[in-house]
Amino acid sequence: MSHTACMARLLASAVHDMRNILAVIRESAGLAQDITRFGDGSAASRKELEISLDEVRRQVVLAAQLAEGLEFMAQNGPPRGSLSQSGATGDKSNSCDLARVCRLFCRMAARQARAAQIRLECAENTEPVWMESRPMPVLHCLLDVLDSCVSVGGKVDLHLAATQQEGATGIAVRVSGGDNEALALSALTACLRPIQGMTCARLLSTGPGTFFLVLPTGEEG
Amino acid sequence: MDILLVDDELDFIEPLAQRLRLRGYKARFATNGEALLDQLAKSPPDVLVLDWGMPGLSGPILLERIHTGWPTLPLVILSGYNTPKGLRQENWPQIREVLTKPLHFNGFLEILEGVCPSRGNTVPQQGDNA
Repeated sequence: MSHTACMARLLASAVHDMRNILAVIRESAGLAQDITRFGDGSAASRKELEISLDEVRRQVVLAAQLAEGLEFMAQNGPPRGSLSQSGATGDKSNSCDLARVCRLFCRMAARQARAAQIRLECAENTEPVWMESRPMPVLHCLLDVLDSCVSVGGKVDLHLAATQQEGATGIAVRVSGGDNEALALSALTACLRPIQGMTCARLLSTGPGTFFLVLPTGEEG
Repeated sequence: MDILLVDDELDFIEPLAQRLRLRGYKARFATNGEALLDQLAKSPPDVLVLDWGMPGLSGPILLERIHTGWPTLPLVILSGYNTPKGLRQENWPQIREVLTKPLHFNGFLEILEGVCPSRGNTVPQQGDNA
């Protein structure tokens, strides 16, 4: 799979989720309108109206997060160009915040994970985890890890956390729970081969159910 | 008209069912394929509105099962993609319409009325654009 194919899959997943968000907004706003029109004005009716409007607000926040992911892809996906680093790096050229890349991956790949009944979660890093790399190869590596779990039938909980371990910067991958936990662990253990996305990336086993995705700095994939 | 809605997105299917009920339809829903088959076995609806891309038992598998067990049940397929993966509508006469989310509610009502005109009990209201 090329970086371009990886980007296409993440974009397709995000577009599907954006349509779902729009569908929820439309029906929730429509229901609020219907309650105003058909409702009896009772306390229960007013409560239902509040719930519908809260749902609209919640979905707008989700849409904004997804839009951030789409913008990120537009600025950082292949082919390389003058804008290729700006969205991910802030003021650090040729580097990316792995914590942000992890967060955006979880949003962009949510649909693919859900389809395989994989609960994909990301650590809420309070500090950025900077790394000398472009974001696209990192996203590609994460999609390869997700694909490994999908390949055994999904149905696992997959947790990602950008971190540093023993001087190396990378992503802690934890598989816990789910019907196919053992199969997913076997598939990821087999990933001790080079990971797709970066030629020198490695997924190292660090304990029961835990791995460390080592991402070489400056790697272009 | 008895409408069975099937989608794993509860946040979407719940308000949609409620809007239909406010217009006098009997609207019920299921959030996965197993629950759908269970409801079909107990009481088939007049029309089934099915999301194509659910986790677990998804559109292609469910379509085979529905065709086998309820070959005359009218279907409306929903999808988050413009072209639902693996669906060839021309092979399935049961499928009356394929709709992309988000739905245009009035258009959706017209389709439902078109599928079961003799059982419609509510005319969509003018100016209902949401």
